[in-house]
Amino acid sequence: MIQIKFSYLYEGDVEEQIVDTFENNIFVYLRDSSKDYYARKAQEWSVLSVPDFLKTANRYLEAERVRGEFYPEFKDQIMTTVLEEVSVKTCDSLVKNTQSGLYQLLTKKDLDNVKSLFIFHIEAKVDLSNFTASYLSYIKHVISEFRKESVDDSNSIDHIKVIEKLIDYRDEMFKICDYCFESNKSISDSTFLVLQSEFSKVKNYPKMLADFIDNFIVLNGKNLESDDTQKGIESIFKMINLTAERVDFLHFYEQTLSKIMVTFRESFVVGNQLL
Amino acid sequence: LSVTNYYDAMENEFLKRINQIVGEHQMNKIRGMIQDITNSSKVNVEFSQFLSQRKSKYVIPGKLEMSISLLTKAKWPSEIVEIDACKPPKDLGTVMEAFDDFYINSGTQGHGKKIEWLLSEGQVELTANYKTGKKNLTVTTPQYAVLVVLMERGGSELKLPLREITNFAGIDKSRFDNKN
Repeated sequence: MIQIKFSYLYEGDVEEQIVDTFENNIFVYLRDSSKDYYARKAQEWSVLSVPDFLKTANRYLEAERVRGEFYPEFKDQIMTTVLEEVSVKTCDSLVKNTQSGLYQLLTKKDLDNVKSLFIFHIEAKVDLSNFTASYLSYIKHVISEFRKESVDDSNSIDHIKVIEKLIDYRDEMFKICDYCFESNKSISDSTFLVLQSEFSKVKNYPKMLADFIDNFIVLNGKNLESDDTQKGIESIFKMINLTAERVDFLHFYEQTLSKIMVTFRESFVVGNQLL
Repeated sequence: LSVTNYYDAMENEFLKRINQIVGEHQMNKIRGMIQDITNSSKVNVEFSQFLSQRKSKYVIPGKLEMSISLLTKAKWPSEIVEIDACKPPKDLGTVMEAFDDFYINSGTQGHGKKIEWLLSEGQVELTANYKTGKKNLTVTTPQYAVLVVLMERGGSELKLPLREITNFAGIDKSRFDNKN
């Protein structure tokens, strides 16, 4: 291929035709035919589920990258054209696919394909707004469903269990950020804000958190140095950081602390006779 | 007395870190509460010495192990401040009277201050002699007041009409309606 290129380069009037000859006869044809080919392929693959689409598209993209080594000077331009057809134009519909889009993948805990979809975006340098919005919508849905079921519509609310579950959700959402989204700062920051907002909608959240801490100290007060206790403390402070109503939380914390402190005693003996 | 769930090191760890999150100013109240509890230890020692010097004035039936927490009203959440929860039984009443004397009249620290007793926050450990053996009971001060009334006035069956119990123990009848 490189030999062919040079045979064109040195034909005719060198001053006038060096670049035009190659671009008009090879590169433009290569680029346009690639564009048409992948536009058809993307259309053809649109009936596939998102995981199958990603698998197929990635196979073709990898083959295209390998092929690009034969024309290194133009590889990037060809790849840009291919990615435009295969990825840029399809990312939005992949995210929003009602059968197997991002929301459905998250619901099914198919984290490998969630990760694959994220990388698909990153490699094509696609704006992450829609992708992020879909993830945040998933978080809102999960917390809101839990809130309705375990707090709003529940007759007996176990404060400790509610906070335990919210901790699980928080851990799950940030693990997804780390594992699937390569700790992307923008998505992690948005996740933090959405969790903070959703937690604040949980009725009596600040009081429940204060009760949870009280219970934690009662259970683990004698084992401050143990690894499990330290992990528990770290986890609790991540929750406090996610608490929007910190003044309310502090008020309830003062209450629980005061209840404990007034029972804290160093006693003395009065009277002379044994009862 | 064994009743305590206060773990000094753990609470301090939490307070230190909460302080970093909410800032110094927000922690003033909690710091004041801790200061009260710390000072209470010293007050208890001094009060114990005060009592031992006035055994003839303050006659306490039996032998009691006691502890008093001296709280500054403004520093503590209003939710825990419930006064007049019950009439103190005689032994407790004598100690309360002695403490008022000790704190308000005998030193400079309580001069001009007023003491309100939060008996609902108090806890009493007592030993009950059942036919099956001794049992240690931990009750609130109002519960203790009820037990004393039953012991003193309930006869061998320890029975009294509710009206009399509430009257002699000085407990609002509505407390007995609380189903929680």
